[in-house]
Amino acid sequence: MKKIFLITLALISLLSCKHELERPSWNTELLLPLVNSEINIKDILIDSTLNVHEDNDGFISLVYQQELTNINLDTILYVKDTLGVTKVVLDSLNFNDISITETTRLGEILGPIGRIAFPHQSTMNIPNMNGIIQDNNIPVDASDYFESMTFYKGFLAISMYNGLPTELANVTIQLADAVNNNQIASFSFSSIPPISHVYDSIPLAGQTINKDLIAILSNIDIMASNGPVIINHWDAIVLDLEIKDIGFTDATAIFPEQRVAEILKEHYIDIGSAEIEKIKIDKGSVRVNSTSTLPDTGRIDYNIPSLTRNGKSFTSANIIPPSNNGGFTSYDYNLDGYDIDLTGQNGRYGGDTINTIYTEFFAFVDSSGELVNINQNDSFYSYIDLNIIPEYAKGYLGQDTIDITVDEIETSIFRNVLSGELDLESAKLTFNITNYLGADLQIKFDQLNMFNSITSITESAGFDFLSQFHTIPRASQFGENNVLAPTFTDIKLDAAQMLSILPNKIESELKIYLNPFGPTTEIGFIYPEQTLNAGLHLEIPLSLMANNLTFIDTNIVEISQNNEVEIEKIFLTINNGIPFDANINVMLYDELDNLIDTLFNNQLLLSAKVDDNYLVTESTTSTLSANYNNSGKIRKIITVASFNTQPNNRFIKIYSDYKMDINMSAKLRKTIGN
Amino acid sequence: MSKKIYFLILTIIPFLAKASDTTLTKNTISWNSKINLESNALTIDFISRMLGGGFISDTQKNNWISKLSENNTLFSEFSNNISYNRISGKNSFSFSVADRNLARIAFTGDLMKVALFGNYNYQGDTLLFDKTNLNLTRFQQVKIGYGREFKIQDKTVKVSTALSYLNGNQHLSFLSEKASFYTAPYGTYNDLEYDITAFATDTANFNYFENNGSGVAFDFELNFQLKEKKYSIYLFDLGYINWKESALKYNTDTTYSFKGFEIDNLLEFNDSLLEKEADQYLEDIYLNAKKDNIKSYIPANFGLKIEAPLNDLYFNKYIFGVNLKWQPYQDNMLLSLEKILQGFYESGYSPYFYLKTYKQYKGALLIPQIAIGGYTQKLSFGLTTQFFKKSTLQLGCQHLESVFKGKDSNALSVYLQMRLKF
Repeated sequence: MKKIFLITLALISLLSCKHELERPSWNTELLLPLVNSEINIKDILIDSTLNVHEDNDGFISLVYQQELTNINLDTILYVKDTLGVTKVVLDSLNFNDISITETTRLGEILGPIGRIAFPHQSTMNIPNMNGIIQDNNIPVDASDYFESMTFYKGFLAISMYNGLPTELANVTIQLADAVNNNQIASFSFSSIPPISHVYDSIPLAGQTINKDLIAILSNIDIMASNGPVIINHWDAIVLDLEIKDIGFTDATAIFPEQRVAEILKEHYIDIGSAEIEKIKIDKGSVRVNSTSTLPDTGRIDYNIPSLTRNGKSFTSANIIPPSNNGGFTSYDYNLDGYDIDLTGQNGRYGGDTINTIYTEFFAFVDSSGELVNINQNDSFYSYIDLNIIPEYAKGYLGQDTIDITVDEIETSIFRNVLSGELDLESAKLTFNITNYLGADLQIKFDQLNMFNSITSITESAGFDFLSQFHTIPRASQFGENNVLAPTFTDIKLDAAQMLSILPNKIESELKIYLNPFGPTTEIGFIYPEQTLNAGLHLEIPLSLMANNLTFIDTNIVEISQNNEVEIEKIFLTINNGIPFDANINVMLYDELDNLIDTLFNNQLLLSAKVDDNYLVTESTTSTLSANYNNSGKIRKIITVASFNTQPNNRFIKIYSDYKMDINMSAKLRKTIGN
Repeated sequence: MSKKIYFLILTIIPFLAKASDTTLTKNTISWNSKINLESNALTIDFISRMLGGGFISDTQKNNWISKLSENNTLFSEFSNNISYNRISGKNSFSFSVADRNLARIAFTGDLMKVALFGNYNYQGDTLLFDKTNLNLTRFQQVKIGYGREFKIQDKTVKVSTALSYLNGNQHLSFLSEKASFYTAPYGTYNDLEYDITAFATDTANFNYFENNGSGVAFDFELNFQLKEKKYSIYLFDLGYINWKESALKYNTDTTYSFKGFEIDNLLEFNDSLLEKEADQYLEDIYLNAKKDNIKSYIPANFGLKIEAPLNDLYFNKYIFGVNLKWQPYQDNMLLSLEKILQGFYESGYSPYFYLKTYKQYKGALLIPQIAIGGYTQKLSFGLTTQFFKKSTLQLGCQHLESVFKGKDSNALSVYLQMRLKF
């Protein structure tokens, strides 16, 4: 028992010594390189608009390019978009002559008793029979031709044939309206010999004739025959009524299909002083808009022989249905790829012309076989819309003066420069003009200024430059496919003085003179998509003197203080191979733009060492150190650096192999075990 | 694993059953627990701070560093063992099961400096980390032994052998034969030159008795007596563990100069860039790691001891011995003299000479000890107290000087043994 107690006591003593373990902790100071970067002069200077060029020796030039404008010269090629308005009144509507024939047999004239007295095929003397026909009404039905018709011209003609073997005398015939018995015409013939015709007519102008007519044979006397004649009951008196040369003001009739208008016309297009012979259409359409007051369907055929594609000219047939409220019927036609010949009608009198389109307009009335009422004031009304995007046009483009006003062009060359002085040994400003026009040009700058909006300093290109006219030769075309060969012309000036104000804007105003020397033997042309390009090319050889040339750069970043590692100090070790001294200021800001810390405050970065030719011989190492006292999130780093070339009274040339090796290291405090 | 244990137990049972039939048998069941923490340079203050926690001041760090030598070793073992021994006439049998947790760290003073202070104060200096080694192993050892006495010319010679099965649980090793670290002024760059062989068992299998590897160990002991002196020559725990292939092995030998992450445009610096770059580096490291198996050695003990009675007023007998440890860092060459010497050198263990004496009092047996060498490589004093006579309880300490030195001591050692004889 004693042993067991002792053993138990010993075990309990051992096990009870359990210590509550904690983690040890201690501070360490670490020194670690964070990032390194090799920055050459290109890295410092380059941005999206600034290129760096170097020559064979590595000497660097900055090249800034900006397209000033693609000068819009579409006023040179202005195509009138509506080819006039065409109105066709139906005063020339045709209507065929109307002819109605009535036949009266001898048997009918004799009547039943007469036919007994004068048997058929007998040979007898015919005595005088005065008034054998009196007030005999013969209905005349004209409904096959019209319902009614009011004439402004026309004639009613009557032709009477005496087929009897004896003379007719004192023949009186009237034509009257069957409804109201109004007399339309009256004809009298004193004698109509046997087997002969008589003819008479009256004008119908101002008359209205309805379809139901009556021919009234008021009197016909049969004269005695000269001896016995063969009596034939089928011999007849034939009456022909004819309405001809019809011109009506209003008619309800069945009209035949007919062309009512034909207008062949040349349209002169106002293209200013340009004299265009041909336009190639890239994209285009024509819309034929028509209406008519006809109660029947009409049709307009609109053709433009001047408009051809693959050898076929443009034609269109446009059905114009009856319109109740004057609405137009429109038809669209695609004109892509068509050529417009602007020399006028083919084979025109006096030869080819310019700026002229030849069109054909035909109006038709269709026949529906129904009665329709047509008034002489009924009309077709039509107009044509042309919508053309030319691919090119050929011809003399005329003389014109185009004012180009470029308000202000923002330049980003010195956008990061805050202040300071910059002297450039030279700087070439070149306007690159590319002329795609088949026309000579002259350009004159009325104004060319560089402007620093911060200092409000303006520097002009100067009188010598502004007084010059710069001639731009025309483009040309060659080969079967008319390959376009533009001309390139550079307008140059020395801009070193202008750039010394560190401009951020360029103001220019210029005039472009089109064909200043008049027409030439060469055919002109224009491709509206590409007329005249002007670009600004600024070449700055980096031979410079900088005096406190202060750059500012803002970088949006996201850097957080690590809870586990505390940054105590930042070291920036710069091996400078560029002949600039620099004063460096680096400020850290939070997301509310509050200054968190000034990391480097006017710390000096030493210039590289140069020889007697001011070429870098040796890099200089500078270590900048900064206490790092922030605990917040860094969202913005603003770096302000002032550069001075060394020596600062000489132009220093910058070469591509000049570079800085930058190493950023940090003293970190890390508590191990936390 | 369990099948292997059952097989071993079943193999043992017939021996036990047979032995129980004889009247000449002596049976012993023992429980041993050992806590041993030794270093040639680190003090208990360091170890207790690392284990017990709390903030470490610069004064403490300077104090620790001042005591470091060029090569420093820290060894610890926490083990529990239960064993059964049976002596049957000239034969003896044994069976034991032990749970052992071994840790050995070898490092240079420079490594400790940079670990405690960081590299800021060592700008322009090259810090050397050669022969840095970390070896943490946990395993269970199942040992079966057999011994027999022989008579040779009236002399009794006893030969004992044992074979152990080692059930490897976890193993973490890190070895850098050659490494250095240079910090340029202002930290513009760091040069790191290193070769590393690292190994870690599958952390997904982190159970106490998980089988992540298997191994064997061999024991041999020769005891004989000349006149009154008993001599013993022994070799214990010469063995290794083969760890499974599921573990990650990382090998690299490189010189690396880090100048910071290379940024094309410094003016657009953003810490996300650093994270991206860092991720890339980590990815590269991961790509260099591969799954592989590895062999690790457990510390083997070689020794010789002489036991002789004393007709002294105070002491009954003494034991003098010398112990060596053999544990190479890695299995990098075939068995040879060079390999043998490598194992002794890399164990970090100096020849351990000791002298024990025995003094029987009425209530207890006192066994004082004086020694020099071992992991501490210093003079040490030990004391074991044994209570009772037949079934005994031993409490002992190999570094009694630590009681006096307190936190400045380089070692901490306690062991407990309970032995039941029947």
